[in-house]
Amino acid sequence: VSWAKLANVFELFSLTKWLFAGPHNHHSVFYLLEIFNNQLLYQWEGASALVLSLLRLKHIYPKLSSLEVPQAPSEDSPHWRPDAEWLQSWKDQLQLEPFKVVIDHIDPKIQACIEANPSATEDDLVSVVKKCALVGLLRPLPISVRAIEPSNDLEMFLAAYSWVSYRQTLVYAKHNQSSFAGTTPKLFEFTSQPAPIGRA
Amino acid sequence: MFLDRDVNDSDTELWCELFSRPSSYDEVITALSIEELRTLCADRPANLRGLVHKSILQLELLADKPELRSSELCRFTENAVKWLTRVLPFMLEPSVAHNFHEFWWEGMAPRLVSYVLRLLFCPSFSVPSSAPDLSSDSAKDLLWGSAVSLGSSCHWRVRTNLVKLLLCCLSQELQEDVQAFTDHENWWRVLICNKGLPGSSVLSLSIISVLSIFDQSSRSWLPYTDSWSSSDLEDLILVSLQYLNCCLINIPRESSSARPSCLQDVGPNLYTATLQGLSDLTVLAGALHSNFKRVTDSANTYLPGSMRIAIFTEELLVFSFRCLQIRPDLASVLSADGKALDITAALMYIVMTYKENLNHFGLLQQALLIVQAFSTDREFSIALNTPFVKTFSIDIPVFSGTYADLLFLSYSSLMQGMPLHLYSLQPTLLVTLSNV
Repeated sequence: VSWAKLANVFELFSLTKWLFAGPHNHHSVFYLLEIFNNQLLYQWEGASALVLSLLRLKHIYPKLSSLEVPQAPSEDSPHWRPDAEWLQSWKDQLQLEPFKVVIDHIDPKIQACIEANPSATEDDLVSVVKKCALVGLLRPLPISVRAIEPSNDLEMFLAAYSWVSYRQTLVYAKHNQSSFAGTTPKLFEFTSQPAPIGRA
Repeated sequence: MFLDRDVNDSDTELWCELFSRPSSYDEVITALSIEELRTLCADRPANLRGLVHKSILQLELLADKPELRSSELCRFTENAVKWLTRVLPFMLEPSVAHNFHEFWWEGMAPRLVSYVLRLLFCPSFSVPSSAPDLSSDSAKDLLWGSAVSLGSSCHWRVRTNLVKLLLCCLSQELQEDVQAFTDHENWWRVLICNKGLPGSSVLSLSIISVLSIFDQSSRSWLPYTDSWSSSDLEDLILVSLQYLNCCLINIPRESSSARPSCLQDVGPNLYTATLQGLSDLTVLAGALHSNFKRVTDSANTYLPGSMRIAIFTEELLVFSFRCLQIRPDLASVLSADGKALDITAALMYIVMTYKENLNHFGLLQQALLIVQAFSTDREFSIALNTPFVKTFSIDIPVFSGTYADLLFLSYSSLMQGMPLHLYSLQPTLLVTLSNV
């Protein structure tokens, strides 16, 4: 179920409408391909469901490998227009090779299985995938782990979130009046006043 | 009485009445309204300085003269703490702060902070009279356990009020705009987190370990027992966590040359250093785990609503993330025996429960950052292969699988039906999945 769901997300983020709607939207596809590739390359044993999900989305491969800048700008982002240079800066770096190998080498076997037995179940297809091996067909890709880098934005978020909850405690928890009632915080804006979770 | 005339230190009758009369914080608030406080700050700052000075003397008397400790002196001191809590946020307002700048930074601020810290474990006041001396460095071992919960409700309330006063001191930055906040160092934080204060390392440890003694599992054997109201101990933990979170705020600054003389030669942040120096993380890990597990347990009771999550759950989120930032090895400790999995399940429950609510964006962001911090740990990725047995209601498709499936399904569902206000969370979600 998980791979099928994540494949749906991949399908969504591979739509040109999404990809060309913002200067960073293509990052989603990079991350998703990285997730899929890690599984295909390094955890093949548990990858059968992923392989089947990817094969259901094989129509995406040609689209992703031949992306072109749309003629008409997207209506969703009037302030930003994708250009060929921008597209070129990332297009060739998409790691689509494992996806292609899966389509080239496993899809024919799956098709053969379905032709031989039109009522083949999901389990039958999984066992076909399990018999396949991609050893030697895939070039190893680096595994990267992205730690959270300290940054001013992160600190600002943590600071504001810490203080918001403090102010609420005094205002909402027990006293109707707080030490801060009447003062005007400027560090952040209250657009609304959510009740902290756990506090009635 | 403060508004229409200048008061002086020797007016014994006035001060005696001031410290003896109020019986609750509400009375203090009523006695000095917001308008009166503003007028005092602007027109009669000397009277406010006098009030603060007298209140600090009250704290000193209790801390320095054990032989004088009586219930009356304790009551006077409690009231002094309440007065200070009342006036401080207004004295720190940018429009009038200049009236008090010299007053604080030529001696009064260090005096206030050091006496508040000393009073946090003061026998007969904030701990029972029979309590061992916890302000000495030799008491370190006592503080990772039952000694933290020394006393009863009345002691916890006193300690809660003392920590709230420290929070008021830190709150100066709350009244600054973002630019001033990032440009100016908060001197109160530098002072409060100064490792050089006597007994400070023990006190910092006690505040961190206060979380560990809130063992909810032992309190929850009867349904509804904790539904009626929050306990005084829970309140103490709440303000302690808020205090810790505010102490751990760390905006990098290039220079700190403009500090007043009392803040020269201060070392690294006391609380960061204490967390860095913990040799055994299992107590902290256990405390985080039991309090997070409460989130999913409360969603899975045979009597709906018979158990509630702790009031400090949001503060716990920030604090847990801070701990993981300062001690990345905490993720391995939590993953080693599956605690990180229970915490992840609780975080997924929180995320999926509050995803629709724009007001809870911060909550979601914080929960997801914790999972991302976990995801950088190899042990965690391996532990995710543990089978997951669903015991609570969560808005994802029914599945049988592992904790990895729980994570993937929750994140996929978040990304698929993502409300606009959550778009900025996408990188966090995808990076986490790619890490594991």
